[in-house]
Formats: sequence, structure tokens, C-alpha cells
Amino acid sequence: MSYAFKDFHWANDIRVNEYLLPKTTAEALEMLAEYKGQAQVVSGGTDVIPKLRKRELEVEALVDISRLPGMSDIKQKGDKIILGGLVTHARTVASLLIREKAGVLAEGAARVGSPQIRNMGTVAGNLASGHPAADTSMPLLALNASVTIASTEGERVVDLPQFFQGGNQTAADSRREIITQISFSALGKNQGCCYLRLSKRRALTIAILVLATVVDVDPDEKTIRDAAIAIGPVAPMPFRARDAEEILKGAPVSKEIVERAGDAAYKESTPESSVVWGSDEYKKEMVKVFVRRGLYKALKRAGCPVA
Amino acid sequence: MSTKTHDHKQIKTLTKDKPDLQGLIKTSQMSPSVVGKSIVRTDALSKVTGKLAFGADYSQEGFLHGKILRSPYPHAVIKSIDIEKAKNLSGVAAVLTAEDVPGRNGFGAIIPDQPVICGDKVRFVGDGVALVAAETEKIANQALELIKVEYDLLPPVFDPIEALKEDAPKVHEKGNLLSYNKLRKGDAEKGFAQADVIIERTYKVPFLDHAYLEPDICMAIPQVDGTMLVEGPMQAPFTVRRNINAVLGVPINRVQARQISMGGGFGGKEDSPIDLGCRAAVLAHHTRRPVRIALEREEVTLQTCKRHPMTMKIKIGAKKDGSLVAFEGVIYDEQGAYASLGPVIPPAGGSHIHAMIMMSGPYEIPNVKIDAYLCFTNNPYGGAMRGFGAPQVHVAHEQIIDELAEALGTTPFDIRRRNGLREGSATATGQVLDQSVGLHDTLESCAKAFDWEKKYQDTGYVNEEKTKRRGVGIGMGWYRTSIGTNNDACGANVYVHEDGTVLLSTGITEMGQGSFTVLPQICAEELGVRVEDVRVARPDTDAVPESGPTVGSRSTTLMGNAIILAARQVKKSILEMAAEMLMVPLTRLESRDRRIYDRDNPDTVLEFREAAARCMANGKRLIGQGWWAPPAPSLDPETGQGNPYFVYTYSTHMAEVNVDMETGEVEVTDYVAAFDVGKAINPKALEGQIEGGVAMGLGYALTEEVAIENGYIQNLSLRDYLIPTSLDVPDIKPIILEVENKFGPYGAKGIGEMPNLPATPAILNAIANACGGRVRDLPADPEKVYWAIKEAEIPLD
Repeated sequence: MSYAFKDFHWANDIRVNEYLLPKTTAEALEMLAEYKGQAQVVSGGTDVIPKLRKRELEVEALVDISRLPGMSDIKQKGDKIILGGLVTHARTVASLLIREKAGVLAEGAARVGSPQIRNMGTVAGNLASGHPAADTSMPLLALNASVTIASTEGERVVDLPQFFQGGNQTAADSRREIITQISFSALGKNQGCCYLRLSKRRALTIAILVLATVVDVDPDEKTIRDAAIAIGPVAPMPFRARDAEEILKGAPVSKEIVERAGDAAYKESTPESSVVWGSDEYKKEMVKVFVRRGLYKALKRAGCPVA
Repeated sequence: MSTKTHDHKQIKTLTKDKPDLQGLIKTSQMSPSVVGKSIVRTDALSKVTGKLAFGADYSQEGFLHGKILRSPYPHAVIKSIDIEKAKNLSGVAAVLTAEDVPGRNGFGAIIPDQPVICGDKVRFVGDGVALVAAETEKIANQALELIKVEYDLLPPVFDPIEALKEDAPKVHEKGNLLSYNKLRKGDAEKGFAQADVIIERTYKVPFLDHAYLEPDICMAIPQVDGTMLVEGPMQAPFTVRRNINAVLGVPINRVQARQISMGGGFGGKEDSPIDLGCRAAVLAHHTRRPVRIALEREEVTLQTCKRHPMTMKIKIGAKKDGSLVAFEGVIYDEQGAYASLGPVIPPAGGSHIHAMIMMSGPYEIPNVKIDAYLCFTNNPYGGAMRGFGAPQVHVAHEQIIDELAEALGTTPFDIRRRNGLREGSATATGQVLDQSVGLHDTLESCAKAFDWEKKYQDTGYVNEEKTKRRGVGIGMGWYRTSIGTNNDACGANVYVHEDGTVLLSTGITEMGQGSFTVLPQICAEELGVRVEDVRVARPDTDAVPESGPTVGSRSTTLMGNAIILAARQVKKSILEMAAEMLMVPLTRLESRDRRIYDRDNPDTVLEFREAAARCMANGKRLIGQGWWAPPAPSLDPETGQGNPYFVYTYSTHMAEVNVDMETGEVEVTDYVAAFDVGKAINPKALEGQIEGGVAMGLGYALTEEVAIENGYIQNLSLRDYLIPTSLDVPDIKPIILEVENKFGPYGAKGIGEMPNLPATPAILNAIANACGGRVRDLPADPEKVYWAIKEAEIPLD
């Protein structure tokens, strides 16, 4: 490990020259374009400000999008739920729609930081951080969500697996682009979900492990139609345990199949050791425990508990 | 320095030698009217309304901003420093290197071995190699980056046991062994020969950070007459002054240290204000302008002292009936890069000395042998943190007692009941405890409130899925009041004004612990006024008598006595005046609640202020000055025998936890903490101390550790250094017992540090009781508990 000057010397000042407050999304995108990658989008600031202070991020200007109109709502269109790019964690937790039709996201958003951070921080910002253990990334990854990204060039839609690119990088360039919305299918009958979190203390800390599961069952046949398992941080980015999911698809609901899924997830996860957050060995063991627990709970919620 | 007579009689002899020790408890024939009341803290309103100004709130106008260039290496020789570019940067007022320190280039609470500015070599990551003062903080930071330092790397050493090896790199010229001390009571070998059961264990505790809320800040302001005024949050203004005067090369009266409101200290702000104070003063000396140095959170973690890590090896033996017969212990205490408060402060001060004296726990054991090593390494340096040397050994003795109970087939409760200290017991240092020993009262009352007997039977799985198990644990503890050194006196000034109000001046600081509430209560009680009539002056070395540091749980007891003595001088003159005015014999007068009256005829009365005003008019004494030092401590350097501290506080904690058997997660679900405090001057404030202390002990048990990799701290911010949140701390039920201390004001003894000591082992013991695995290397975070469960592999019901 190598260290730099900034690892031993800190400042309380944040080095930006301009703090810009656009009135519309178009204006915000213009501002970003004008700075040619030297401006950074900021909304709640719960990630950006600490990064600026630590000089992990160095830009000339901040473009504050937190007051842009029309991006703070949670809506349902058909079977799709649409989360505006400025929806905060607190609003997500409080939303009846999310709690009933995407409970796993409400559970994840509820565990982000502290009340102050949940009031300021946005779900889109959490995604954009690209952090491999971000609390709302795992639920959204398990929900097969997609994000809409806007720039002066236009809009594009990216599915979450492709959105995460590793090393805290994502498909959205927060120096040029804005995430305008996140959308995913509402959970319905015969579907169940579960969010689990392992941490050293009960609040205000990075997770040792975050897991989100979504299952789709056939209650008559007692089989699993489909399953999604998202885990972090067990890879450089939020991770889908595809091998485990494959084992579950079409399989009868049973203790054995859940155990096998846990073992598969154990094998396919590649966490890293850290002096502060624990060994890879322990995290792998916990993947097994969590996948099992997450599946039991999701299956129960889907109305098809393991006997 | 020390004597070998250490028995019951000595304390009594000392009492006779010091007439002022007598009668401090009963000062009035009536029950107290202010002491013992849960009055609201005097600083509560200003704190909850946010009106209280801390250092960071002070105006920065006219100040230069001081910054420290830190060593990026744990151990290196400084080959060269080039400051030219930094000096030429516009807005820079000074760039200083070692040769610019006007006086002694070294500071430290006891041994001044830490350079103000390193000249020849650096000893830890964060050591200061240059100082900068500039018009803005931004310019100061830019200047730091322009300084070029060339280093020759030296091999570092990071482990105290490694550091003792002959070929280990030398952190300091004299070698890595800073202090070695021993304790010999009875004959350990013979003791073990009598034992039916002997077990041996090793326990380890890591560096801990105080994590006080307020980051350190210091302002040095040169005065017109050449005096250097230094302001900041500080626990020990007199130690700060003592260091700055030497570093500037001026006499003591040319330095003034003034404490400002302090956002927590926990022992850490004994050291850090010396560090910042010396450096800010040197910059102010060169620039002749006010200089402020304010640390960011990460810099606090990097630069300031930590709780000493220790490796503790113990062998303990007992007879079949459960009675302890022998104890053998070795302590490897890691001092880190600089001596700070670590080394021996005769006769009984210093972290490894405190640890050695208390290592065998609050138990009567006839044969004890302990060796304690204090070693330098290239890690950050160890200092005081709430219990200085004692929290570490509590982790060890309370766990091994439980492990021994299991080996003996007895219970954690019974083994403590059998062996716990009582009145008349001799401690490991051979001190016979002749008064105020309430240990067993705390054990019994704690067990009752916790419902120990039922809960101890009712452990095992708590959920249907059989993934969580419940367990209970006991932590017993004891702690000294005072610091065990020969410099332990407190001085107070009490000034009664003509309107009957009072100015109380002491050198004891307020850091959140409540001394600015409790001390006026004692003063008001003694004078017979209301507590709101007493104003506490801010500790200022120019204005208050030397009171020593605010440490060692000494404020209420030692300063309380000094206040009583000071108040009595004034009260005497006021009562004499009242006797004249009322024409009543002095001996019949009582002063209470702002009134002075004839005890035999309460209608003969005058206002306290009338007598005070008359004193003023007639030139009768209205200022009192009291000094009090506890009975002299003793500790034989060869045998570790003696009376190191004059009184102890005792405590028992009981904790209930749930352990997730598959993940190792621990939840503390129930908690009772009982204390014998002598006398609760302010019960509500005392409960606050207890709750805060338990939370801190919980952090030590479960989450806290300064994680250091090759000398580099990996968790500098509070994002990664995990102190408990309100969700981690259970509802704590405090129990306060009062077994009178005859040397304390109204019978009081210290409480500041005590509450966190038994909390850590109570939780660790509960975890072991729940899951069968035991974590002997702290903290017991989920991973460590998980592996302990795997390792134990015991069949569970």
C-alpha cells in the first residue's frame, strides 16, 4: 500500500471555484457540458462532499441539481415503478408504494447511514457512487432495475448489471450526465423479496455484507420460477450470484436447493480482505449464511415457505 | 520514596498527621440541602441551545493558521529539509524547523521526549517535521506541500515483545524498554503448589481512540508584556504551561494557559493540548502574532495519543472450594513512539504501574507475582484514556475468573462472592482496605436488580430457527480515586461577594463530566448558600491555584475537600460577624439556604448576604484558599508493595446478550451496573457518567480498534473507527450505593473512569456464556465471535 501527502494532511476547505444552481435539467446539462468534465453533479452531497474534502475528487465546479423540478416523485406506470433521480432514501422508506411493491428497496434505503444522511442522500446518488456495498444498489440490482441517463447528447437507458463497471465506476459519468430516473417492475403475487445487512454496529456504518433476494414462485407446483440474488461487497461491483440463481430456476422449493444455492454463491463470490472490514474467508462464509436466510425469507413472503 | 510499612495503621497515622483530613464528611449537624440533589447541570441550557462556544466557534480574525508537516514514515532519519519555496509563498508568515525552537525542543506530560519539531529522526507516522503559519488555512496547506524533506528509512518495530529483543531497531537511543516493574506478594510458586486447578491464558487489547466529539484546537496569543497566552480545550492547563515555558525558554510566569469549553476529553486532552500548545506557541513566538492550530478529525486520530494496547499473560490457581491461592501475570504494555504519561511516576503512577497494581482484580489472593514491561515501538503513542492502565487488565482478570470458575465447576457469581475484596482484605500490593469497601454490596444488589439467578439458568436458543443464543455475564471492578503520585494536590479559591454570591476558582476543568455542577454544589453546601449563588471561574493558570490535571477520577473528592477547606475560612469570618450581629454564640450558628440562624432559636436570623456585606465593610476575610492532598501514596519499587491509592470505588455489572451463532453478531439486550461511590453529590449527573461509561466499555468490547498496518492507521475517520451508536447501547439500569469514604467530601469518592471498566468484560463474559466461544483478542466483532464459535466446537443444547 502506498501513501500520499493527502493521507497525512487534511483541510476543512473544499476546493471548488463555482457552485452552480441550474433551474432546469437542460440548463444543468449545459453547465456540465461547458465545463468539459471539470464540473461534478451534486445532489444530497453525502458522497461528493466527503470525497472533495479528502481530495479523492478534484473539480472546478459543482452543479447542484437538488432543486430541479419533476425528479422527486415516485410513480407507478402500468406494472413499472419509476423513481425520480432526486428521490431521497427517506422518501423511499416512507413510500407505501415502495414498501408494498418493492419492499426490498425500502428495507435497504432504511439502513443507509443516519436519518440526516437519508434525508439528504438520493437513491440515484447511491447507485452513481458505484460502491460495491451500497445499500440501495443490491435491492435495485435484484429488482432488475434500469436507469435513465441524460446528457446534452440525449437520453439512454442502461440496465443495472451493465451500469456497474467496477472500481466505483458506473455507466453514468457524473461530470457530464445526470440520472433522471430509475425504473423496475413492481413485485406482485407469488413474488417475495428480502434485504439483509451485516455490519459491525447497528447504524451509520458501511456494511460487511449486503444481500437482496427476489423470488418468483409457482405456489401450486411449489417451484421457483425465477430468482435474483444480489450481494456486495464480494466483487469489485455489486454482484449477481448467477450460478446460485441458475440452480434455483425451475427447482422445487426445498431446504436442499436453498443450501445448494448458498454453496454456489459461496463459490462464485470473490471478496477481498481488509484490516478494518474483515477477512475474505469470513465474508465468503457469510455469503453462504445470508443467501440461505435471504431465500428462506423471500420464499416465505412469496407464500411458498420451505417446509 | 516508599516505605515497607503498609498496613492498616498507616492510613490512621496519616490521618493524625494531617488534621485537615478529619471531619470532611460531617460539616454540619443537619442533613445536606444541596449535596445529594440532582440539580440540573450548570451548562445544560447553553449546551442544548447551542450557545456555548467551543474553540472552533472563536473568531479567527487576526489569527495566523498553523499547520504541521507530518512524517509519512514510521521510522526514518531526516537527511535534509528544504523550506525555501514554502517560505517564499505569498501569505506565509513562518516556516520553522527544529533549529527554530527557542528553548527545549521536546514536550511530554512526564518525559519531554517528543520533539516540537523533529530534527534528526522521526519515530511514528505523524511526527512533526516542520511548522507553518500563514494568513489562511489554504495557504498554510499549500506551503506544507512545498516543503521538501529527504528521509533515510530505518527498520521499524511495531510489537512490544519484538521491541524487547536485542537486535530490535531502537526507537530511542536508550533502548526500547522504557520501564520494567514488578510486584511480589507472598510466594507464587508455593501458592500454585496448593492449587487444585490452574489455568493459563493470554489476553490482548488494541490501541483505542478517545473519539471525543470536539477535534483539538489551540490558540496562542502573544501579549503586550511578552507573556504567551494559550487558549484551548485542555484537561491539564498546568502541565500545558509547564511544557510551553520550557519550550519557549521563559519562566513559568511568562506563560498563561486558559481552558475554554471542552467537547470531551476522556484523558486524551491531557496530552494533545501540550502538543498543539507548544507548536502554536513557537509559531506565535516567531511571528509575534496570534496563531491557531485546529486539527481535522483524521489528524486527531493520526497525531494524538491512544489507549495503550497490552498483551497480558496470566496463570491463576484455586483450591477445589473456589478460593484463589496464586496469580502470576506478565504485562507487555506498548508505549508507542513517545513516553507521554507512560513511564513510572513515583511512587505509583504510570500506565503499566496502574495495570500491574490492579491486574489481579478486586480479589483477595495471598500469592501474587506480576512483571510489567513498558516498551517503545514505532506506532502512535499511548496516553491516558478513561482508566489509564485499568480497562486493559479488567478485560484480563474478569475473563480469567470466569474461565477458572468453569474449570472449577462453580459459577461466575459464586467465585466472585468467595474471593471479592471486603473491608479488612489485603490487595495485591498488600494494602489493607480499612474503610469504604462496598464491592459485595454492588454484587448482591446488581444480582437482585438483574435477576441473575433466573437469567443464569435461562440461557440457550432464543428463536425458533435456533440461530440465536442468549447469555449473561458479570464484570466486577475497582478503581482508584487519585493518581498515585506525589503531586496530587488540589487548590481552590472561594471568594464571597458583598451580595452573598460566590466566585469559585479552581484548576479543575469541565469536559462534560459535570465538575462545574458538582463542585459548586459542595461549595454552596459548605457556605450555606444556594447552588445558583456560586459561579465557577474558568480554569486559568493566572487566576486559580495549581490543581493538577483533571484526571484519575480525582476532581470531586480531592477538589471537593479543597473547596470545603477554602469555604470554611470564609465561613468562619462570616459566622463570627453574624455572631456579633445576632448576639448569639458562634457555636450555635447554622448557615443554610442563604440564611444564618441560631440553631436553638431559629427566629434569630439574618441573611447570609448581610453578614457578607458587613465583612466587606469591616475588612474581614471574604476570600478563602484551600489546598488538599490525599494521604501520601507508597509503593516499594522492589516488591510492588504499599498503599498506592487512598481509596477505591467498587462496581459490579451484569449484561445479557444475544449472539447470532451463524454470523457472530452480538446484541446487548439488558444491562445493570451497580457502584459504591461513597456519596452521590449529584445522583442524576452520576447516572450520566455511568451510562456514558458503559457505552464506552461496550465499544471496547465489540467494535473499537485503531487498526494499524505497518505503522499506518487504516481507520482515521469516524466512518471507519466505530464507536457505539444509540442503537448499539441497551437500556442501562444504574444502581448507586453509598459506603462512606472518610476522606471524601460528604463521603464521596471518584466515579469518572470507573463505569467503563467492568462493562467490557461483562459483555465478553456474556458472549462466552451464550455461544461457548471466547474472544481473547479484542474487539469481539462479528468475525472474531464467529471464529471463536467455530474454534470452540462445543455441543450446544
